[in-house]
Amino acid sequence: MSLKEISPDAVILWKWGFVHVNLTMVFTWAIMALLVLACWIVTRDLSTGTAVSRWQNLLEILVSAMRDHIRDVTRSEPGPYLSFIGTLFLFIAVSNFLAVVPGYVPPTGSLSTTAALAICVFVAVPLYGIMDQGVSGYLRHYIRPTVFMLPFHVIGELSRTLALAVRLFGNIMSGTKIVAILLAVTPFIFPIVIQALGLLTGMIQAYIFSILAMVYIASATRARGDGGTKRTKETARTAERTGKNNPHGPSSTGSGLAHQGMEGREGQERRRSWTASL
Amino acid sequence: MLIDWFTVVAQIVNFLVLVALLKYFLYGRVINAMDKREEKIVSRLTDAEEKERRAEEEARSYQEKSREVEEKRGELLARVEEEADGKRKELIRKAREEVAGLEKGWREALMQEQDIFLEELRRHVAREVCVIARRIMKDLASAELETQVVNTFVMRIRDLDKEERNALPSGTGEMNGRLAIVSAFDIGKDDRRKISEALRNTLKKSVDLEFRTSSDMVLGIELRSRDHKLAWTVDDYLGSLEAGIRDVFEEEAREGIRDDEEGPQKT
Repeated sequence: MSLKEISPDAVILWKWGFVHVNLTMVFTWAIMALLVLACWIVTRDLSTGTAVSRWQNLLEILVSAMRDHIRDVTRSEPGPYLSFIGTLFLFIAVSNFLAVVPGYVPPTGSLSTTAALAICVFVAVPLYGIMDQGVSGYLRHYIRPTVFMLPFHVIGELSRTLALAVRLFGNIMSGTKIVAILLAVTPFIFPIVIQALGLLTGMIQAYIFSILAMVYIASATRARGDGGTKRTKETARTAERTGKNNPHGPSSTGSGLAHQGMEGREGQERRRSWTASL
Repeated sequence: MLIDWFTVVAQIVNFLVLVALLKYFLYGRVINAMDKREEKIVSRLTDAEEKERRAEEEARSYQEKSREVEEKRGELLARVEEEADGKRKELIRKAREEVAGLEKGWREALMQEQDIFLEELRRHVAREVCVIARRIMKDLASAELETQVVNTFVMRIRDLDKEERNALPSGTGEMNGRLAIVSAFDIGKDDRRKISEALRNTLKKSVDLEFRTSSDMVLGIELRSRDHKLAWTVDDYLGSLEAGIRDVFEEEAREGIRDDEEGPQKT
């Protein structure tokens, strides 16, 4: 197995100079088109009454669940974060879910894609932090509790971004490769089982990625408090532990959270419930 | 190398485009629809609460009115019953008074008729008795009834005891010391002389007599002073007959009343 076969980035369909179109981009566009088309079809005629179509109901449940989770993590209104976090989850989930389609290679199986998403998170965290607290307010927490913590904070931010990218890439890539190997070794039942397990893993990884992104953003925003800090850290560690325990392959532990977050008792209870589900 | 930096940049752009597209096509629209629905539901709930509040107020108002109407109805009913009872008692009292008045009038009329009847009967019987007695006297003793009456009156004068003699005073007042002899028939001279002698002998003094006839008397003679009267008339005999007939009438009336009272009970 060569490196080229590991990632769909290696399959280049069109090239002009350094500009090229590979399989990762094509499948990404397909996913984008699928998502936008489905959303447009469903939301072009939304009902504001009590009679709601099934698809509208599905989307409303999805959006409501996202908002609830974001509200639980940030303890504030989910409005500014919903588009970013929700799109992260939907893109990764659909990307992983379509792995059952023959000939399809998930873009999330490409380290370039996961790195791009992780970079987005890496940029979004200070952006939301600055939007919330201002530049000085955000930068001040790098030197807390002492200025000697500055390098550790920086290393932590970089490492957790790397961990995000590598965790998702490793899980998805290993899943597809294991199915390919099993197809060659033991056909019939086992590849199907592993494929189903891969679907489950894909959904969990989408959830983990988006939740971790939300936790990172929440830790950078003003919502903070001792209990919340403890709980947010616990949530992040639980999510990372779940990724680490994945049988498909390597996973990296994030650096956790060095920042503070605030939650009330209600938020802690909700957090406990979905943490247990992980 | 696993990371193709052009792909990374392209994927970042793709992701940001997707964020923008989904924000427009998914989150914005769905959240907008959910908010509108929530507003509608809140509006409906508010309306429902308002209507419920109004309904409760109206129900309380109606209950209060119903209770007041019930109380007024009870008071009105009690007053009407009281008035009806008073009216009934008043009517009964008036009816009883009317009945009592009618009964009294009827009794008085009855007594009056009875008196008239008895008077007429007494007069008729007296006349008939006189006629019969006169005829019998004439047939059996060839004597006049009036003469026998005078004789009987003279005999009564002579038989007066001392106390009765003293009680007969002399006439005073309008009779100017005279005694009046009132009879149903005209007394002849001989008979007048007999009476005068009998009185003079009995009273041991001379008396002045005035003889008069009275149509009210059937048969008889009376000696009248201012305070006393000495008489023999057939009315004395007929008095017992009248009393007997009156007793018979009253007995018949009592039996009639008893029958009337027992009649409805038997029915």
